[in-house]
Amino acid sequence: MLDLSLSRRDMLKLAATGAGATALSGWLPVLAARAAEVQAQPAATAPTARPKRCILLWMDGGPSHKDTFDMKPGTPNASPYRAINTNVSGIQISEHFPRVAQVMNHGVIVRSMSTLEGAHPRARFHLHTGYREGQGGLVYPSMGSIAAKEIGSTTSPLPNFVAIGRAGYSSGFLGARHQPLNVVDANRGVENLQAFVSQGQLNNRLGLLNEMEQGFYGTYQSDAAQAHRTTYQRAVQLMQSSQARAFDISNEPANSRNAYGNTAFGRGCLLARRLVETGVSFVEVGLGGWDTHNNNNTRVAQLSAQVDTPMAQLVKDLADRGLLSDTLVIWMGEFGRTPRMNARAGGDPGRDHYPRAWSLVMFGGGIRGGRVVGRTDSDAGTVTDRPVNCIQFMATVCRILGIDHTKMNNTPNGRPVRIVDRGGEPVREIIG
Amino acid sequence: MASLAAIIFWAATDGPAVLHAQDKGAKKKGQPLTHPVPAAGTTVNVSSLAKIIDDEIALRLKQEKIPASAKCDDSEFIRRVYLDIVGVIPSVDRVKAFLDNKDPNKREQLIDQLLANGNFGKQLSEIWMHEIISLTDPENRLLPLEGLRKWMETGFNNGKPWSKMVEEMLTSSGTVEDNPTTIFFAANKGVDKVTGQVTRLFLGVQLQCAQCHNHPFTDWKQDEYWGMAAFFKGVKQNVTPKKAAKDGTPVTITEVAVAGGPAAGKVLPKKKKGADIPEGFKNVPPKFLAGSTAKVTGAARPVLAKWLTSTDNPYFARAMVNRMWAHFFGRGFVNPIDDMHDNNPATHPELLIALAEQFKRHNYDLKYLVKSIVMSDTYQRSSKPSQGNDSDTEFFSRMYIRSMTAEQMYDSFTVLVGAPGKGGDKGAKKGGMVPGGKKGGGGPREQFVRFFRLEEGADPLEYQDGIPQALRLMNGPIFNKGGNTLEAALKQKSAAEGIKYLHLAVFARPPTTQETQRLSAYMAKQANTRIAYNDILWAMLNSSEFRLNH
Repeated sequence: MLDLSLSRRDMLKLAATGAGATALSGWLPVLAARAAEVQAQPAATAPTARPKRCILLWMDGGPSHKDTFDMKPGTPNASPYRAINTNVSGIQISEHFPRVAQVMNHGVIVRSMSTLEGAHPRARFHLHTGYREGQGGLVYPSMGSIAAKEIGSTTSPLPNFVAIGRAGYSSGFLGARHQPLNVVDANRGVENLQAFVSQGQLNNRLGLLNEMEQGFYGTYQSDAAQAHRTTYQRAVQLMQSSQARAFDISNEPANSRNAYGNTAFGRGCLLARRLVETGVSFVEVGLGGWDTHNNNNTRVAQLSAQVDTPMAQLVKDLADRGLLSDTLVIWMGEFGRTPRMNARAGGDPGRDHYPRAWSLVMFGGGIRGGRVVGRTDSDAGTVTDRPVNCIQFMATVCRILGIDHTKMNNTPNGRPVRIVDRGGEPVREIIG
Repeated sequence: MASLAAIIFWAATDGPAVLHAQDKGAKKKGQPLTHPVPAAGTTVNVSSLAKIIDDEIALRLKQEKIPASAKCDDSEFIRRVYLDIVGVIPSVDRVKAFLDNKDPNKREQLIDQLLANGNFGKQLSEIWMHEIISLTDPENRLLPLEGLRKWMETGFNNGKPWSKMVEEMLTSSGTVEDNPTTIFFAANKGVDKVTGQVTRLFLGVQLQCAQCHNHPFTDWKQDEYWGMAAFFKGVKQNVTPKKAAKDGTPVTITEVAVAGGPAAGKVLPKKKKGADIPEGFKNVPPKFLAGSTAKVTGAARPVLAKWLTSTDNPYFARAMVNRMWAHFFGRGFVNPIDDMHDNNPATHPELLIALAEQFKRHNYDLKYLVKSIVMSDTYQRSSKPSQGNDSDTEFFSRMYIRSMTAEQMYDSFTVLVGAPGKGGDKGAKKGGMVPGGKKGGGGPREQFVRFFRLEEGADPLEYQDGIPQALRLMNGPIFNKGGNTLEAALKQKSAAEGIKYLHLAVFARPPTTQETQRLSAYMAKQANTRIAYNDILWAMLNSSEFRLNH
């Protein structure tokens, strides 16, 4: 199947030439018109043999770095958790990640993240798009949408960006074609994939709809109408594809399903693996609850346990299937948490927001695993070596995925915007 | 602070003190204003205010050299004004009657009818409930929310002054069952939560960043935030909704005078679990935003409520005017609509001030404000672009196209095919319930709304539906089960009449000749008339023309 998105120019051209008359037979004339143009479009990729994929495990709320991946055993304000060895000599992590500890040889812990936003909405936006909310009056696309556009397949019927568990960040000015497909519950996948009527009748209906859309767009030239049409085209593509079976995790053998654990997040990780196997470029799986202003010690342990099994299994599965070197897995939140516990009266203290120094972890994607990049002081409060800000982080992710981070994309008004803002280069040490 | 003083001066005078850059030269003491705003102290009626809107918008368009689109036709008008005022498309009979009506004042008559319709208050109340109540907090679902919504609906429909409605909400006490306005506090528990909501919703100002540090982009300092927060220090809630549901104690809101008066430096007694005392709490006396310290001897909230309508408060009227304008046009004079500050200026500052002033003078009468807006030529402009004005995104040269809200969609479907029911697909292996967040629950309408609803803060001018929404509309039972419109079309005398009926019902307009020809040809080719009509209806209901408010 072919790329079906139409630019404004295309739509007007088709409306003007009365192409609608032939469209009763279906979407075919429209497909043909577009096919040639698609082949000519340059992509922002370096000529790599196989396209890269990314699985972003988004830990919403800002996980405490001092209680997860930047343990400071033996210091006065150390985490109450034990630090355990991993299968990489010299690297220790929280005792609540015993299985992740056994795949540490594939991972790189970045302990020197240092970013600018300390409020959830702004920080989430910042770490998903690389830009600041409101900057320049634009809605910036998230990394998922950027990946969908730059390295996503133009021929696959599956959307290139899928978000599981939490709604994905929007494509901003990149438009409806690169919006994430949101799957609320991995157990239910994508509903309503089956048409209510026969294929023949569905084709008739789509023909009628096509005509109406062209008529309306010819008169109103509305961006919303164009987006509506694109969304419908993508939905129809998905309906008619065999690849859509990837969304149904009941197709996965039981023992494989169980290996991811019986949690929503675990199922999300399994679905993510199935999707990247089928060719989806970017999958984001969300796990919320990390905003531990109180009750930090109980909650972080619980959340870590929820992550440990599926994340380790995901890395192992990808490695076993020969996909790990092409799939970048990122574990991160929007910031870290204060090195000292807050003074909550009543005995269930927590940690507050802390963007100044925090940690994230990357696996696969061709990076050299088994290392730590960057360092914080003994309190885990200040970065002492190799700070990494958001722009550098985004540039690094682009480099790993084979995206040119300096490339410009145009907003609908024709304004060129860099994929990653100026002021930072990919961090070589992370890639190794 | 120079800029704050400018805001106060700017808003408190009866005329604009700040003009466009182009006008700076002309604005000298004693010279007549170039902007057609009412003279200081005048109260103007609906048609005059509508004219002011048109003159101001036209003035700016002239400065920007942008041509305006023509007036919308009757079909565009009736559909748009129905959706905007009563939240649902007009029925076929209403459309026919309106299109056939020869009375030159028919548009105004229609507006008056719609403002008198109970769904005016219903739609507004639902919009406000989305703003006031965050449903991501599952405990909020345990509150008797319908009580607050109904109270708001009644207030809007009975023409209760907006200032009075807000005052009652802000000063409410009692149990959530007996006095539903207390739900405002019960659903926004904690000094920080309620302060953020009050300033955002009623003053149009986003103060939350200033809770922990001085605001990065504006002049709001931390003390401004804590000065406002101090008005809510005395608010107490006895139990959480969860506990109330378990042991039957009604959730009750009370306000106590803060012990020893709100003198600075006085330490408040420590609270258990810190639920009401937010992080970084600062103990300062209550102070009006960008204004003076308040004199509070007993309860603090009534003092705050009184300030809302005082001449020292430039925010209250402006915030609601901006919000109502955005409801009708898809964007406000200031955007985001609740983020009004120096570095985020209005596109039409004089008009915003004039509207706020008149809203105030009419005792915060919302129907007066709404009627003035929809009577204007600006509102009644076509959404079809003209002479290259399609690149205009802020000067209202044409009506911007918006998506229908989820509620409008559901209610319009109900008119056309009967209530959509619980959704889900015919061939679903696992039940047909709508996936809607952590807990389902709520009737079919609530589930539908959750599924289609824009995210908090989403731009109404941006199309937000994704593949799951498209799939549900295409393949869900909604349009696949016939319904009253289908049956009525089948009863028409001919295919052409049937096609006309469908267009009036779904699009509020008759079909073009070309459309009639093409669709008649389609019908002639189908073996089964019912199936043919069903196909056409399906396509219409899935079309942009239906989905969008244009």
